[in-house]
Amino acid sequence: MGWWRRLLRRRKCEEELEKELRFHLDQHTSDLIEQGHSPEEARRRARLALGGPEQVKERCRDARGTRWLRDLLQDLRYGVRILAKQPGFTVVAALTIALGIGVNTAILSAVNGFVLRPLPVENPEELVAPYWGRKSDAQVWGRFSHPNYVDLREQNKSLSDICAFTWASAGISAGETRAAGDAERAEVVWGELVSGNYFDVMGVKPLLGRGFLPEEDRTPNTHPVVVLGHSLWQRRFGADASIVGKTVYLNGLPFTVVGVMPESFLGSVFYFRQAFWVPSMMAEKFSRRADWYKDRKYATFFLYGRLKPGVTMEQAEADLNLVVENLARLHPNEDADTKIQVRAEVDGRYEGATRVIRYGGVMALCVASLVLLLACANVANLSLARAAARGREIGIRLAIGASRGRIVRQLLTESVLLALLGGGLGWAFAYWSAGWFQASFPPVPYPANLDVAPDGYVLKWMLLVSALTGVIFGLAPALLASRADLVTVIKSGAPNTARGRRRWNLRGALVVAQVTISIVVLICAGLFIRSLGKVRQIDPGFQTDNLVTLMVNLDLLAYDQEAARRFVPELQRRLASLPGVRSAALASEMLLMDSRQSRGPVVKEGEADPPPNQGVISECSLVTPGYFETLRMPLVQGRDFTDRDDADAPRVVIVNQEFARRFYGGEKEALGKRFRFAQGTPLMEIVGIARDAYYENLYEERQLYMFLPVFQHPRARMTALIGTESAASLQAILEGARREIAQMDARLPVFGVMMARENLSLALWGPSVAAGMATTFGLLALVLATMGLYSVMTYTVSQRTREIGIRMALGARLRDVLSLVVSQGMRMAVIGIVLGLAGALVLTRVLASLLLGVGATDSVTFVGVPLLLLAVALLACYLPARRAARVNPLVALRHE
Amino acid sequence: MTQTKSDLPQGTLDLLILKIVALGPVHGYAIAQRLDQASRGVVQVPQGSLYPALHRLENRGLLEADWKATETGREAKFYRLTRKGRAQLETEAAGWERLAEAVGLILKLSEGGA
Repeated sequence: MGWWRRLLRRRKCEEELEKELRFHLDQHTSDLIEQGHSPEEARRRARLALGGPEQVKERCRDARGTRWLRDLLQDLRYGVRILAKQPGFTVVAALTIALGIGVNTAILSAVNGFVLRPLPVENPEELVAPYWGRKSDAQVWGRFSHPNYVDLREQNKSLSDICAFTWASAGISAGETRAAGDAERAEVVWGELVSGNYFDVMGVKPLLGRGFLPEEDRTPNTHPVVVLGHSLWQRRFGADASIVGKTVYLNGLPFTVVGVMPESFLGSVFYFRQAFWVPSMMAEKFSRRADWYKDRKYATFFLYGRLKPGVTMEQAEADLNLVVENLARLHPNEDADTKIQVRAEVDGRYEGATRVIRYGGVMALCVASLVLLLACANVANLSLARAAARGREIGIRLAIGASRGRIVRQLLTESVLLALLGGGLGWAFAYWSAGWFQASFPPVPYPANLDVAPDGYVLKWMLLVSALTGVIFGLAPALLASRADLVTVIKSGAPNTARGRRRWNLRGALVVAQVTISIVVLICAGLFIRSLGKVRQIDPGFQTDNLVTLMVNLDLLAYDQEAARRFVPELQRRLASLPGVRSAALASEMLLMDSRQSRGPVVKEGEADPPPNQGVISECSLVTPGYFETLRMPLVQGRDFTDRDDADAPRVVIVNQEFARRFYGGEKEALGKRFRFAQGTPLMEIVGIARDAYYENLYEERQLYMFLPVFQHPRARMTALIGTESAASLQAILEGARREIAQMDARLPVFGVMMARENLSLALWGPSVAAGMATTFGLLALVLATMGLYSVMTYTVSQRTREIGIRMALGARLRDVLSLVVSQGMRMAVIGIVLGLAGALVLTRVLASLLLGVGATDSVTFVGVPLLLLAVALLACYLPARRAARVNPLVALRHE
Repeated sequence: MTQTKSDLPQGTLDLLILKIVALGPVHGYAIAQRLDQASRGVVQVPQGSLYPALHRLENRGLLEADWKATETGREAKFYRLTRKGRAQLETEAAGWERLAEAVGLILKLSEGGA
């Protein structure tokens, strides 16, 4: 019988013990009677021989080894009783802790969801991601071409295996015929093109069927097999257990289902929910060029590898770079001056941004911990006041023999209980805020998988922090209370002056700490809010109001180039003629969505190609005529593209002001000049200069950008941009656009429909969340500090009632009493504010990189926050002071 | 109380209990009696120590117990030796015998030398 079961069956054990000893006594007694003793004498002797039954029982209980647990249960019961007796204190304290812990848990959940939680694969810590790029860049985050991937995989010595993957979208259907009016609507799903060893390297076992075989990924377009994701299998195929071996249609082509993945596995990238996997050799069917597997420059794959036992990340990086040097010798045109950077999967998640995001996460956690400390200080303050009130009880318990350790343990049990109560509430708060956080995420045209709900890891952490919190805020009061001077306490029931003074000092220190922390947190909050305000004011350089965007992908239907070329202008014409539409255009990129596209280094007319992997690259968009008008992105020089800028016409290009300045020294100088991309592409003439804008995100520096006419650079996946006259007609126009597309080709799925205002909200999401969080923290800190100051002042006033009464009896006026009390409180506040300002100055230096458009020593924040806190502190001191001043001297003198 | 009875050496109570229980399931009072009889009243076993020892041995998994009726028809807690208890008894008994032998040898030695 384990001690746990014993504990649960405690009552039964007690009964059995009682019964066993009674049996012993009765037997002994009856034996003694048989030997001739009188019954009373026999009973007396039997008792004597056994010893005191209670002592024996106690020793038996000790022998069972459950004593500490019994004590704990006793303490817990007592703690619950005490807490229930003082509901006011309990509620305030628990809520205070709940806020502190809730904020921490919420932040940790978010950090966990974004940067900590490993992929649900075998030994995720072994998984490393190599990235490819130019030697001249400090950090490289590029993808790999298929030939380079194969060479790396075969020649490296540090990774046990490397797999490759890239994303693809596909129209999926269960049947082959998808004629107009088909009930089975075409649906776009996202999946991955993966190397044959992908599932082995990731270490995931399929739920049904199998992964891919090596021979299924050897020759292009020969093995149309697919592994389905769990949710797609459930949703689209009704969780058909016999699906393996059946045929599904991807982009209109039949694929044989060979397996279904378990629910936990969502793909290679933690924030995407993938619906299917196909061998990379089928890539041509998913919008890849026909020669994708031969072209060393066609970099489309991300890689994951597994470290061999004992190999470090640095060794792997060095080893892979040896292979790269070899490749550079063999293929100087493609691979010269390139390098590889190896990162853990977790570290590569946001490319270079991981650091910033981690940084932000750590910052947020620090601030949240400060808030928790504030909450602790508050509860410690409350507990101190309560410990003073309980001095008599504790004194008596010490007097009748309780050890100091036992008293401290009991008080600590109480505070840990309180903290766990607060932690439980905080958990609920974190769940709620995770939901809010998820809902705040703007819509994206991808199956994003953002799981920021607290999980088991966070739960463990939270329990630990709760318990620690209980110890932190409970220890000092418990130690102080148990040090009580027995005689004084029991005699008077009131603390003597010496002890009162020490306690005041501790309370004062706590208040100063609270003010300090809240100043720091408030200043951070202020900076973030100011930064958000600045970001909101940033003019992205084009107009986002009253704009609808939707994406079409002609590749999904295997349109040939000629058909696509006819489709795009027709679609544009139809969209533009919808009622209420101001202007319509199509473009390859949605601006401010962090999407990137470029075409090799820029070479001015008459200049030679730069060496491979050197030269200046400019991002670009492929656009139709009317793009600049639709986006209201003004052309400062030259003209827009026209319908005549087609494949047969001379090549033309529109560049931005930055491009013109950087390459030609000015807008006028650039107009009419010609340049080309490296490696012999035709020269393009600059026919227009567009005003500078923000292209990828609002954080970027001014960057080079160019626009190419889509008719000269055909592309299958396009975003339609529809500018409308007014916001009221957006929905109607959206419906109209869907109808027009259906009329042109009913099979064509339309996806990623969103208002452009929402695209911008993605760009603003980060700063908004930061500012929102910071504000929450700041207000929380302010409320907590005010509460702390107020409660300490109230307590102090109540302790000094008699003194104040005497002063007033001796002729002190209302103002004297007010200033006496207020100055005492304000002294603490001012010390706290000064310390806080010093701390904030240090901390915000670290923050500077996360703030946009606001200096880390923004004067508005640094002056405003202390003023706000002074005002609040004044109020928190004034209210108790006024109460003190209203005291009737007679009543006060009789006090105590 | 006679003063000729000696106190039990530290740690031997457990061994004696194990030995007695090894002879067959037995309740606490009977163990006390047998200890008394078997040692011919030489060894003083405070009954107050017996029950904590039994509970300790049960807790360590050396003994098992269940409630059964005695000859007189009353329910009593009968202790049995577990497999672990038997192994423990064997090692402890062997250890004790070695010790007793050694002590005896030394005592004889000092007699001869005197």
